Amino acid sequence: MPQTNPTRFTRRAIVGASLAATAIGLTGATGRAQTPSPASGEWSFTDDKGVMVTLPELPKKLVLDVNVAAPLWDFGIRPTALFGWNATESGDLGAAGGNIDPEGIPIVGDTTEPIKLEDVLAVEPDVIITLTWAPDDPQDYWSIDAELLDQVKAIAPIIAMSATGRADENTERMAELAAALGADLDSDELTAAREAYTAASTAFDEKMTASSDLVAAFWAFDGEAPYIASPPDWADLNMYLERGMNIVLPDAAPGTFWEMLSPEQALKYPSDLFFTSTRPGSFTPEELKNHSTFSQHPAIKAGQVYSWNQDFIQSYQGMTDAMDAIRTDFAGAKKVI
Amino acid sequence: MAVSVAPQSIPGPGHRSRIFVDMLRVLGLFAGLALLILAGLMSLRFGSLELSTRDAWNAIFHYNPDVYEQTIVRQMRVPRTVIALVVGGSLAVAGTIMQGVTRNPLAGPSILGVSSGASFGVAIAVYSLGLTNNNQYVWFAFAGAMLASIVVFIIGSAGGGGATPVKLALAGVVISALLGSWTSALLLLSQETMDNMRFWVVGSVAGRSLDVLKGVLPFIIPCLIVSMFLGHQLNVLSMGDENARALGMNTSRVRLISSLIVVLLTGAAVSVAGPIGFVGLATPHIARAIVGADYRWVLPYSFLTGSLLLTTADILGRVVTRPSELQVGIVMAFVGAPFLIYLARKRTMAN
Repeated sequence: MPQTNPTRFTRRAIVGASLAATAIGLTGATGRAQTPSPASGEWSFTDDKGVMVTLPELPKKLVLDVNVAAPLWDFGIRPTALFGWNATESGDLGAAGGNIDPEGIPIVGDTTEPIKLEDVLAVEPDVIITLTWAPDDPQDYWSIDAELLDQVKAIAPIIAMSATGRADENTERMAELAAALGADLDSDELTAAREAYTAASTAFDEKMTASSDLVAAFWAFDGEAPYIASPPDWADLNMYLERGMNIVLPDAAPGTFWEMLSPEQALKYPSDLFFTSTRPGSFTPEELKNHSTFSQHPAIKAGQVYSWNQDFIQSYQGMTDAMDAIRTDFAGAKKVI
Repeated sequence: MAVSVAPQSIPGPGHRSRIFVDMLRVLGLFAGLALLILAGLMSLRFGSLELSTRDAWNAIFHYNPDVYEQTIVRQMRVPRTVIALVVGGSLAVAGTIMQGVTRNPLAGPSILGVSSGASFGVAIAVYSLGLTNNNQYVWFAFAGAMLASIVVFIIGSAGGGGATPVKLALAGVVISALLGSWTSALLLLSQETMDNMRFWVVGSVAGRSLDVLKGVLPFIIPCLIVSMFLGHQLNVLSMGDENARALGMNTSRVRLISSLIVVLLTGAAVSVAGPIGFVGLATPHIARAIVGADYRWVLPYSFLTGSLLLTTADILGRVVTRPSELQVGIVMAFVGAPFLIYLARKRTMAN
């Protein structure tokens, strides 16, 4: 599977930020100010970049990035085709795929080439939907390189849903998108999912209040290099943070997603709970226990090392799973620093 | 600078000054050794994590595994220091021999396809067996290096005249290009292979256990010892094949032995640390700038210089981007390239 490299985000963010600055400098205030209302009978949706996509009718053929397709699947929306960093030709979508049953769904872009224009063209999409890791950057679309943007837009309009901000707010936005695409949010299944989500939220908040003395840190590893996540840049971590979790705030500029360290710096950020990314290439809890330096980390020493699904799914079901897992991890953890 | 190619020094008018120069060279070797030890100690003392000299000292002489700083010195810095010293020296000696054998100042140890063979070996292993750990790569890298150089020798020896330097170099370039493209193909086919190999390909001495080095030491040590006695043959060879033959040298045999040593040294070094550039290319020039063109001196001097260079580059890589690290392969390229340009402009490249 794909982006084991957490720096990809960093690079994207840096490049994206400078592009955004240039774009704004050139065109002055753009976009968001003018939001014309659609003519009657037309379909429209304003995405998280503030771009309003208008179509003559409800889009039926949806080409979705895997990270968007997974939450939309939970909301009952089925993709016409899938693309993106997390897609593979074999149809194995990894953790990012969530509940998607990839059987029979064409893959029109994968790890090696996240969006294949000719394949996308062949399925004649009405709309293409992906995430954005920098909603303010008009060039930043997950799995679509900036150079390809014009060509992709020529095939079909793109809707970008925020991958940053707050996961719970993003989940509601995903529900709005699903409803706009024709999902029945009041179906029995979704009503049950929403109730479970509300219950999980309450339980989560209670657990966080009760364990405010426990410090958590979220890490990913790439080859020899450890990275510690900067919570405000991650929608899930940002939500945890704002809902009372005591998370380590590393020395990282906003929008850089990580602080990159060296193995010697394993103890720079002590914590009671140690979360390690589930992406391939990152160290597993087992590997960390045997690591020459991280084995000395207080949380790992105490066996309080857990999995962090970086490809968490912004749906009721996905968020319920994520919050329940975290809550269970906290329930078994004790103060070690 | 006196270029000595004579088998023995002939007593004569210049005899005394020659002895004086040789004494200086011996002293220089000891000075180099002292510098090397100093660099080794610095390498234990300085790194991504700031620690005290006392910690570094205690880690070596009064090791207490409960003190994190001492664990760092023992577990992280000792292995990488030893590896940097050995790998740097091996690549440098291999580069020197290669430049001598081919009479080409731009020859490097990887000219016989060794590095690209090692990379391809690792790529195959990572792709088909799903290996993820640098410590598991070593034998695949070594096998790849050996196979590639054997193919280069077979191709280079074909046709009349046997394995001439030009034919070997050409075969090496061709095989390197071929293997390079196959490696790229594998990396493009599989993101996972790419992710797992990315760090190895750059070249680094970090995160490898000493066991990896121990595995290839049986190749490195004999090769280094033999190579220290090759100085005289390389001196004769540097006069040109016809002169060398006229002096009674079996040039093909010397070439074969020398190349074998280059392949083994480079293969072993690359297996442990990945393909690190510039050490093998630049160090012989530095050594020659210090000690002259006599290979009997250039060889030991280049071992010291190579070790020193790689160790220093590794220390540099740990402190410039604190709290993260730059791999030594990157630092070498950064520092090595401008240095080589400076050297090329300052002196006419001796050979």
